[in-house]
Amino acid sequence: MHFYVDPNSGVPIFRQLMDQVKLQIASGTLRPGDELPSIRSLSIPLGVNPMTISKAYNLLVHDQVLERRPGRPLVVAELDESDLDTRRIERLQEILRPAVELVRQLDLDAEVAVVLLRDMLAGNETGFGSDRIEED
Amino acid sequence: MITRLVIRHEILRGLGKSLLVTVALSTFVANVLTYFWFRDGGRPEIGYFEMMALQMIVLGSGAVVFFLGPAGRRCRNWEQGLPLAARDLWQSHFLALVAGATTLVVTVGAVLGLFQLSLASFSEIRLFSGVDLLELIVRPTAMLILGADLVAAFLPATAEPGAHPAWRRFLAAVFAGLLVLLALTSLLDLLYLAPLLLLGAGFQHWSGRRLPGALLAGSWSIRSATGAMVEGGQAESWEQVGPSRRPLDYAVTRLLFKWPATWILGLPAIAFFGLLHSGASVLSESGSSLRVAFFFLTVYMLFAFTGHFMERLHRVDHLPVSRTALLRWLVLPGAITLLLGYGAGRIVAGFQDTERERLLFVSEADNYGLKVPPEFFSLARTGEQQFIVAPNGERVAAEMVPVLRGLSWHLWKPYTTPRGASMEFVSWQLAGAVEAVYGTEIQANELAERYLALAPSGEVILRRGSLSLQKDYPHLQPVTGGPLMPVLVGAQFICWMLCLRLYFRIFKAGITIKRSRFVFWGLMIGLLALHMGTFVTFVFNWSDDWILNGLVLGLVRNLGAHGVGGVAAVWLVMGAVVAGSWQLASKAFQRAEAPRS
Amino acid sequence: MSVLELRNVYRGYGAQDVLADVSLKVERGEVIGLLGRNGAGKTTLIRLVMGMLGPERGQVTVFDADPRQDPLATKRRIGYVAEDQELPPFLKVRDVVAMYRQLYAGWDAEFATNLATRFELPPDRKVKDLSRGQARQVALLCAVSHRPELLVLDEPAGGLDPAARREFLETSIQLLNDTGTTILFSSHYMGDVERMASRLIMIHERQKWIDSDVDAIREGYCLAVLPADGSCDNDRLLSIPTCLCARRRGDALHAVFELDPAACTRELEERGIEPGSQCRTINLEEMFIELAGRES
Repeated sequence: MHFYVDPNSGVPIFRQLMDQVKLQIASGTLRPGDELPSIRSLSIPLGVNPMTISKAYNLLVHDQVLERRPGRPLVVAELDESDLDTRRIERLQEILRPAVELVRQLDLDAEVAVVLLRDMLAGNETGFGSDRIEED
Repeated sequence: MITRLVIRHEILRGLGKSLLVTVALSTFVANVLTYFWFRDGGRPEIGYFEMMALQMIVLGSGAVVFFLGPAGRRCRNWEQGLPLAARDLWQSHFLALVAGATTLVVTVGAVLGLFQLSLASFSEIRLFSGVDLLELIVRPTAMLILGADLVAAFLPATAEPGAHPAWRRFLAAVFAGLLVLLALTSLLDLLYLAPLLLLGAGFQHWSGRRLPGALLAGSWSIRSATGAMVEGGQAESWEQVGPSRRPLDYAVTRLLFKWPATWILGLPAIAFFGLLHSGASVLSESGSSLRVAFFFLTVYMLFAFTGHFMERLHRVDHLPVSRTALLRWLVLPGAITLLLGYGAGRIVAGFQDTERERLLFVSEADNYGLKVPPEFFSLARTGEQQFIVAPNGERVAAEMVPVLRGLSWHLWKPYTTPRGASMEFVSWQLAGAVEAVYGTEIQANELAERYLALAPSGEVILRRGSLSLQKDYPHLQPVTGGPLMPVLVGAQFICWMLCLRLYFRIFKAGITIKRSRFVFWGLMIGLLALHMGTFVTFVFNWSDDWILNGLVLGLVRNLGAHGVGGVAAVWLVMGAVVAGSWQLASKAFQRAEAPRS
Repeated sequence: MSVLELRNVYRGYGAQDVLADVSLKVERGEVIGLLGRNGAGKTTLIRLVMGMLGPERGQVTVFDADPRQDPLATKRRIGYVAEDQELPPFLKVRDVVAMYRQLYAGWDAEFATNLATRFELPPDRKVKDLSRGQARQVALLCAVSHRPELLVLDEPAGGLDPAARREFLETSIQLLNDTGTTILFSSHYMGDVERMASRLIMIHERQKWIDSDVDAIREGYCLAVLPADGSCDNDRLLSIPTCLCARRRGDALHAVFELDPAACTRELEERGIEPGSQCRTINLEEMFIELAGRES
């Protein structure tokens, strides 16, 4: 697993770490039962205050994404498949939310957006789809 | 354009401090010369060698400019970036050197001239003739111009010439050469300097032609990052780094003093003053002269030695070092040097004492009587005439002199022997003097038989050339002078501590470096003024150095011999007061804050 | 247990006030980032903590004592690195280390040696022959090797290249990991402040303007950008209680609010201010510029 930190982004560092852990779990890079690196071993290469990492870990434990084990490092919590699916969908929702906001700001038709999304998922990124709509 | 560059040149900007030192030193020289004139009753013997020596001193004070940091710096970082011709920059550098050196030389001349003028308006004293003064200024100036030619011609192409040992050697060689040239040309008239100066001008022009188009100054810093990385640390050698006190002592001393100038110039001067105060015959034949007169100049030197170090305090302020420890590092070198100088002087004086007769008897036309060292005079608080009554009933008016004109305190000589006094009286006085000065009793008639005779006029005169008591009675040892060291040196230390306390008190919240400098120099000038005041009283006959000696030395001798607790008590009391003054200074230092830049 | 505390501190130079009625408290283990424009009083505050200056009014307490009362005892527990610090240039590096080792109790020789080796410091070179980064590393080595309870850094990364800055940062973090040292540092490198600090204090115009958790600032503050020629002006914005500052920048009005972006948008809408306004999160550097900068 690989973590990085961007202090200049709009997001606080602890939240960046949390998001990255969640993403890696969702994408399968981190599997349930995998151990997470110690605070110390993470803080120096990342160049981050160990308390920030501690905060991120604590919140993830609180959200039941990670599990504490006495005398041993933190591990990824066991999730059942439905949980995993929920988390994946939640992640997608987070990514799509700003996109939706953008659609509203640009005053675009919702249909245009949906068609575009479908095209992109299908692997065709041609045109703007407007002539398609007219055709349909 | 060039004028503007010269005026703004860093050599001239930094001249201020050198000027003040030059003024102080030339004042000192003028003091001494005036004193010797005064004592010799005429012009001091300014012969060929004395003149050459004086000119060399003047040359030296001007040559200081060459040894200052900015003198060797071809041009500064930011000047390189300006659209200025190399020739202009170089020319301005040369002119600044000449201007700086000339200013210093002219200052010396001005001080001496002012001295002369002010004395001439009140008295007959003339230190130099007009021609002398001219020679004293013109010849060294010409030498310095030639020196500037050489210095400017060989300016090294680096930013930090001081880091080059070769540069310092070059400067020393130039200075030595100038001294030799001065000695040679002093055989000739001033006019013969003209061809030399012409040669110099030609050389200057030629070196100017040799200049490259751009006045490069080479590497701007000796350290370079790549160099540092290539020579990595050797891990093994780190193992041996143990705790050590030595670098701390050395670092604090070097950081707080203006290194190395203060130590090189200051410590020998302080040792010299210690020597002066010990009674060794340094400046004159008799050891007593000027022994006490330089009291304030010594305090000035001590205070100047520690200097305006609060400016540099920020370098060590963050370290866990107590203020008391810092003060100790600052004060001890000067204090110890003063004591060592004094001690060395005592040893020298010890050897000299055996040669010098303490008691003299003079029988000349305008000078008659028994002469005793001034410390054997007595002090009378009123101006009433004191009388001496001999056992045979003879009554004589004692020789009296006011301590300071206008004050009622007088010094009077209990061993006065006026003209017309009888043989019995004179020999009684002589015996009394011998007992006082040597602590041994020699019978009056024995002394009379040995040394005195009656002149045809009935006057008591010397049988032979002079009193030779110490030769004839080898067992005679002069009585010790009493606890002079704790009183004199102790008093100087106390004055020094009080000055420091005054200095520290201004460093409260809000003091800027500029304002603190003002106060510091004010204190320095105040001390110099006190010193000058002492000499002014001498010159105008309001007092004299031997009167001062008599007062102070006599007081100390009496305290030691007859005071409560004697010598031990004096030591104890002075020790306590010295310790107290240290505490005062130390306390004030605790609360002082390093000034903001 | 508080490591240091300032209570209603006033401090000036001559007629000019630099700090007026500043109060703050630092607990053990906190990492405080001190921000402010040049000359705003950061160095003065640090010097007050070190006991190098005294407050004109108010109290300074470090380790439960007045640092000016027993300066030796206080300084021994503090490690200090400053941009304008002058290590004795004529000493060799090993002599500097020996000097500091003499001065401070609790010296960890092994730690010092490890650091020296890691930094690749040449022991026999004189300080004046070192590069700026190396000299600063020596200063840092000397400051941290006695395991101080409080580390005070005054623009420690000033003038260092990014690699040297990173080294500095990592060493400080190592110290945090090992002993949970309290750190007070001032810096202009917002990235470093973001990484290291748990709490931010900003000094502006002699006052303390901000004193809160770094994450709280990131999530709890936002920037609103409004068209300048709209119905709104500076004063109207400033009248809103949660508005920290409002400034005109070119064609727009910039205002910093103590709200998250969504809440901010709602607030503006409720007050009937321009719907064409945008509220977004703001990183530290921008926030600093907004709060402390001038109108353009």
